[in-house]
Amino acid sequence: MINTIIFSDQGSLTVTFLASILIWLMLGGLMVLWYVDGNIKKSLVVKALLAAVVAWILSLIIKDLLDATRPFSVNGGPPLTLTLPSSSSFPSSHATFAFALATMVWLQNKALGAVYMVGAVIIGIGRVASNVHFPIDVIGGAILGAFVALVMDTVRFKKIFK
Amino acid sequence: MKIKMLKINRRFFIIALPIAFIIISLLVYFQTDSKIGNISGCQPIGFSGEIDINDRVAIFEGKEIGLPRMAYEIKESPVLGISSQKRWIEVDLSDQKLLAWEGNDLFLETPVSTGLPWWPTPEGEYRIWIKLRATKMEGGSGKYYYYLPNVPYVMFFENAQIPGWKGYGLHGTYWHDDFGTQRSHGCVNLPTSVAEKLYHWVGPVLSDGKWVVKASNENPGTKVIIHQ
Repeated sequence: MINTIIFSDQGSLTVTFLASILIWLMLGGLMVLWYVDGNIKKSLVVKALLAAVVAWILSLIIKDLLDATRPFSVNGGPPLTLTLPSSSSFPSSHATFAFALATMVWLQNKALGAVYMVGAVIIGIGRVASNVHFPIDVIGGAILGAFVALVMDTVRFKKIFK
Repeated sequence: MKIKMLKINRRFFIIALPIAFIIISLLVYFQTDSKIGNISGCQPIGFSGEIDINDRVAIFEGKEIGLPRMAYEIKESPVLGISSQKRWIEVDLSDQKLLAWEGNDLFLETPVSTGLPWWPTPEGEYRIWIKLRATKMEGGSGKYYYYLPNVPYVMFFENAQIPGWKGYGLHGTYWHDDFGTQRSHGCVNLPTSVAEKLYHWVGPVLSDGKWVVKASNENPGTKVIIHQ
């Protein structure tokens, strides 16, 4: 169900875009790179996606364990995301996903990784601006995402490709 | 050399990141209890039930609103006798309607404003546990701050899942008149004139001259059923 408040005068389509749409563009960007033959490796896309999905699942489990309250439940302001989040607040699974993706891309390709890092930071800001996350949720998500990407890059793939 | 440095950095992050994450998680975990403690349906402050005649300016959605006379007017309470056990209140969330029933007879029907999708009015079967002539409600922060003195004719309900301190109830509303659409922080907003009628109709029965009454076994609260 679409959150209709985003179309009212209380909403901001920019904030909604950053909080809810940008992550899909980042994902789409990787898909495009998959098809376009350039200096990007297909293994980069696979690794980044895998890291992001694993980190995302982990974030959902931690959300369930901690059951933290969303800012819109506390401060009286409406949430401005495309859909109303029903899960708990910490960590931000958007930030977790985006930072796992960005970290893994960065480990493989510094230039593209820098772009994805900026994207991940903007998503984090969007999640806070849209009143669905506290900054600490985004910081937690960023740490979790980066950690999962680092571990998956170091341990798993090294063993497989050795 | 560079590769070695990179490896050490990596090792550092692989150890440091989870430690940082666990510390932050614990912080969030212990903070959550206090945050949840603050959350309540419409955040009532004080249960004296008394009208504060000097507090007549509300703040809602960034605007100052002067209280209408109805909200703070002190009236003689009509003597309606004992509230019947057959009385019950139905709140239809989908239709944004409240119906007050005495057995199968309809006492009144009115459009209401229940909680917005992100502050939903909880469904379930409740009993009114306290009835107050007036209460102050204050909450939110920044531009969403609200200050509502002398909210008139307040009837808080509770059940085993939603305890009374959460502050869900039925009450009169002077800061908007969008009845029929979702508008509240979880409470059921009623037009003030309807809230007044209902206030005198439901149990627990209020003694003359009192501002507040709590339900008891001898003076039970009326049943409230909230459904989609």
